[in-house]
Amino acid sequence: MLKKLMLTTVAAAVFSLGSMAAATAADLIAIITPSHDNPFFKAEAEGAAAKAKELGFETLVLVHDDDANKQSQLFDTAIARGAKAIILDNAGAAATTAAVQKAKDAKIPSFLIDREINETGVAVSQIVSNNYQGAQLGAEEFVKLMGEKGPYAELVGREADTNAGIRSGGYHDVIDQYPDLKLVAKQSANWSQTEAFEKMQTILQANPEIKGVISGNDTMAMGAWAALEAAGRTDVIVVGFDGSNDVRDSIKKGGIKATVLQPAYRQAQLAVEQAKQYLDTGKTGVEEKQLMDCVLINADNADKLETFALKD
Amino acid sequence: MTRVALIPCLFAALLAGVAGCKIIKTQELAARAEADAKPTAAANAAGLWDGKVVPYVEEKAAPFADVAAAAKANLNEAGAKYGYREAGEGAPWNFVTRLSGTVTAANTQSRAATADVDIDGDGKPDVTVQLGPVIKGTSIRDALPFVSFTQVKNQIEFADVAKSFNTATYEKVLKNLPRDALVGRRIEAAGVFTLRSASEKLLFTPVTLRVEAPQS
Repeated sequence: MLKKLMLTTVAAAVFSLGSMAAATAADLIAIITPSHDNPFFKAEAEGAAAKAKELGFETLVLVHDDDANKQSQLFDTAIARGAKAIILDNAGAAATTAAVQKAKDAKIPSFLIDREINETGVAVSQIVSNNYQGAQLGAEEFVKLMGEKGPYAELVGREADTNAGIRSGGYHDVIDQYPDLKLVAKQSANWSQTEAFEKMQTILQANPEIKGVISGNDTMAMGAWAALEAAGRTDVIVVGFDGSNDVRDSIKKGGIKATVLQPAYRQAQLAVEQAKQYLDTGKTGVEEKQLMDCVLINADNADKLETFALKD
Repeated sequence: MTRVALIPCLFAALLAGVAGCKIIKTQELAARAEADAKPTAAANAAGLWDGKVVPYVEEKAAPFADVAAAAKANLNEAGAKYGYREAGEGAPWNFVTRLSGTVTAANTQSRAATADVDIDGDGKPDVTVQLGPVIKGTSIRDALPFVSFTQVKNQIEFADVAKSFNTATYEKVLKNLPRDALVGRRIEAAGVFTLRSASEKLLFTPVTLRVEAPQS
């Protein structure tokens, strides 16, 4: 039995050696994101994988479920599998630097998308949406829809994620200019639809007078809208952030009023293009930290939105 | 009496201090001290205003009419010739320009106050100039090649840099303007605008601005 097992192991080792030799023909790119339950991350992973295949790479698509320990293990996997580059949407700014450094020490460059880390010189690229610009767009639309007045609630994303803070900051830099708009509840629903549903129910019970909800992302906006619908409060104005197909469909049906598109699909592709450039030439030719502009989506242009990209 | 009361107090404080004490590595302490001592990105930005921002804009400013016409014809070509953007794809173009013209209208009721300015003398406004105190956008920050996203910690700090430039132009340039007596007066300004598309309305943020005395 033991002997048989050992033989199998040897055979597996030989086989993997063989596949390693073959891997030089098609280099491996690891694509690590949060759970694909959120269509935003699914679109990122698909955008990156499609571009990687187009450029002749093999892909290894993994999810860390916003768990920094799991992310660290996935980096070990990518390193062990001999990945030539890592495309990463990370599991929290503070906890991620060490994992990216670990890959760098193993001579594997990382290309970050969507979420940044607080250090430079560890990753090769950090391409993020211009969340401040996008949040201001969303807030200006929210202010207009609210008629510049009334009580409202805010749903904030996961605290460990810089994007939660910057979006909330961008919202308030605009909304707080209007003294008749009153923030009556501000709670984190950790980017989660189910959590947002529950938080919205509680907020509604305590503050039945609310006229609007501004949300740090689209999944939380969907959760809030479901709770509002269940309570017969479809008069409440909801604005999200991401530009998901779910919110697009809700906008078209007159539910959620607006969202802000992050070019997630293209952003992921751009990261793969920069990885290819870097692997071929030793540099990307651009600054490490890059911002991509966001676009307001409302009933006027919702038709043009498909999988985190706007058709011309 | 006070003294007697003080002693148990001190003792309690001491006890509480010991109980609540946590072992912190000296390395971590040093890192914290360093972080505390480091000036914020926003403070650094404000310090650049007189010495770097104003001289750069004064020197770099191209005639507004030339830039606006070029941008309308072909934004990317105009951007390559007159503009600046730090990131490539997905980032708008920023232009540093100089203009002079007559104020045709002013909206000074809003906290995001603006003035419409006629530059070509046809009596119709060609550009909207921001007067603050609320200055929209991040154009000043984004037009400066010596200010980079890669230099700062994260987007939150980078937004603070933009806000500190907007505050500086309000405090140093716009605050003391005769804002309710601007209509009909000639102004001269150097400043910036950002374009995402050729059809977008021009919103000019001044970095210097002079109002001519009314003609008698």
